[in-house]
Amino acid sequence: MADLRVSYSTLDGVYHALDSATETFRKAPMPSDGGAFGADDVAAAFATFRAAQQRSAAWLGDTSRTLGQYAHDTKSLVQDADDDLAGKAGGAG
Amino acid sequence: MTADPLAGDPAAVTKLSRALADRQDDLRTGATTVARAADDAADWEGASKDRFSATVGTIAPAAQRIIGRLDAAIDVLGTYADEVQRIQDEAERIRASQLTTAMDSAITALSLSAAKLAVSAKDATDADARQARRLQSDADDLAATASRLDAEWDALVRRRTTADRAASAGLSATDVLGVAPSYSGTLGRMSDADFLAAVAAMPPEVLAAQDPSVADRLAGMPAETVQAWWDGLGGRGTAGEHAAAQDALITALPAVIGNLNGVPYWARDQANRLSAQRAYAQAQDDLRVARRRYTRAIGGHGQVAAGHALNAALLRYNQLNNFVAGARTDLNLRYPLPRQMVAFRDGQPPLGAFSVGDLDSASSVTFLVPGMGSSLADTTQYMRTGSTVQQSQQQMSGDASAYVTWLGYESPPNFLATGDTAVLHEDSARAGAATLSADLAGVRATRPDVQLNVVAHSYGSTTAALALASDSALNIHSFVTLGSAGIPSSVPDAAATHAAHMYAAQANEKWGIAAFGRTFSDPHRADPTQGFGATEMHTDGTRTVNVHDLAADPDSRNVGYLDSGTKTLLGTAKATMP
Repeated sequence: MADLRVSYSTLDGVYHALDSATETFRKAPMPSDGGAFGADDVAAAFATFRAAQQRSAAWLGDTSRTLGQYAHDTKSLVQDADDDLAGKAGGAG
Repeated sequence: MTADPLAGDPAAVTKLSRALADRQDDLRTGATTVARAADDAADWEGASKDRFSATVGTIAPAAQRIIGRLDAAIDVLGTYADEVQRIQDEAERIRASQLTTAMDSAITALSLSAAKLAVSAKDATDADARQARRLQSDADDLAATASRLDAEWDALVRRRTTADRAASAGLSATDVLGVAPSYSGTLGRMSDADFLAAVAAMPPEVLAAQDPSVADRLAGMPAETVQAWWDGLGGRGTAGEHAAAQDALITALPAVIGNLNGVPYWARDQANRLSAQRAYAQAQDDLRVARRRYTRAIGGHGQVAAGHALNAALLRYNQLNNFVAGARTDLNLRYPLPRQMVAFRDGQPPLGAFSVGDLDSASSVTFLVPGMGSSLADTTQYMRTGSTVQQSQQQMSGDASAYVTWLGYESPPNFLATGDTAVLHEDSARAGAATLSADLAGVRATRPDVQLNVVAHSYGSTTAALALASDSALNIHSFVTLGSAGIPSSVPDAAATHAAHMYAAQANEKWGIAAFGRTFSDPHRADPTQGFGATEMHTDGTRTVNVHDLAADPDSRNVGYLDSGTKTLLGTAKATMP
């Protein structure tokens, strides 16, 4: 089993950084063509590209958020385990 | 359709191109922040970090690829804007020339008409004739010019058509979309083998960007096809060690991979944790919004509507909160066991299944199917109840069956709490049986030799009986019913469940809840402890079961079917022993 080393400040830092990355990915604007092309086939191709870009960036945002939440939950889990152990140690005493 | 050389706005296309460059800057900033988070995590070590590292390492390369695709699109748009600008400049020159030529032609035609009249007069002179010939020559020249300009315009139309096609093709190219153009058009027509190969070759951010029909087709694949495909990507793999293509599938299509029969359960676990965490995070946001709207609601009608919305948001939050808490809730085990999120379906209501025990390696797997009123909000409670059985097994033999708390169906509401009579009918059971049967078949497909059991409580036994009867290939070892709400008449006896062994327990319950459910069921459902062919499990003894619950309130004097010291706990542990 791997060694366990963790600090609340590390997990907090990871969570906040990923939260910030999530917002950046989600807010990165993907412009629409607004009729600039004057050609239906070009507009259709750009619309497909735009949708693919939006979904790809959504994946970046979702994955960052999930990882940030994972770091946050890990902190809660470690805190719970620590409290539990403290309780058991107190009971043993 | 004929291209219009003057259509479009090259300046706006250039502006669009600059906006894409701004987007690149944002994505770079995000990728840098993620890289910083990965660096910050250097002080974090352990198995939990491994799971984090595997995924965080995919984000920055994916962001770079997306930025690269924007680069390619910017090139296409830049070339297009320049060419359209040149075409429009040329078009304006031609249009101006055409206008001048048309005006000159009109004037010349008038003059020519007058000159011809003069030539035909009695007093016509040689000068009149020369003038008419000169004007005719001018008219001929202007007609030639008009014809040349028309030809130039037609050539410009073709040039614009070429520019439009080049831009359209450029924006649809692999380096812009990240996937060969033929994929988007032909995925639906590919054979299963070619489709799966194409999907596995896509990077995660491209896979995530595919049309939903890709996910739908993948979700409908037979388990044996999926298993062979998955193994071909780099073997079955483990949570710690597996192929990059498998990682891409987990992160890009978690809702599909998490419930895809044929995929190993470690991968389903990772995918479902991603999906569930996303859903939980969304539920947190939705609850915050609902609370804010409720406090700001004005007027009686508005407050009632906002109150309903808040209750719905709170209900969903509680369900998802308890489900994700299954990863860390206290259990009654003698020795620890790994946990796996076996299924997660983010609907209304959200449904799922959580295992205590590794479904990829356990020698025995048992599905615990709860009854009326159960939902994901009860996940930890049922996991703890299942672990009581596992604790008994660990005490008896050292080994325990992996217990899957299966909350994969929309159970009927608790009749006592709501007065809703759905529990007396079969609709919920029939709907749930199809999903339960499929989930059991998923285990059987990936683990053909594993001992597979079902322990069902109350209305869960109604559902489970239908599921087991529908598929004899499930090869169920033990089917245990506790306080059954009745078995439908379409399953006439124990043999019809196809289980090798069937056990049934019915306590003398306070308020006779199970008996009430059977007595008033419509259509009528049978008591499996009465002439059904099941082996009866006794409920009396030093701790006699006296309530309908699986686990009674420990502060009460009540005893549930799976409480410590009961014969039903011991019997269930033995019936599902590996």
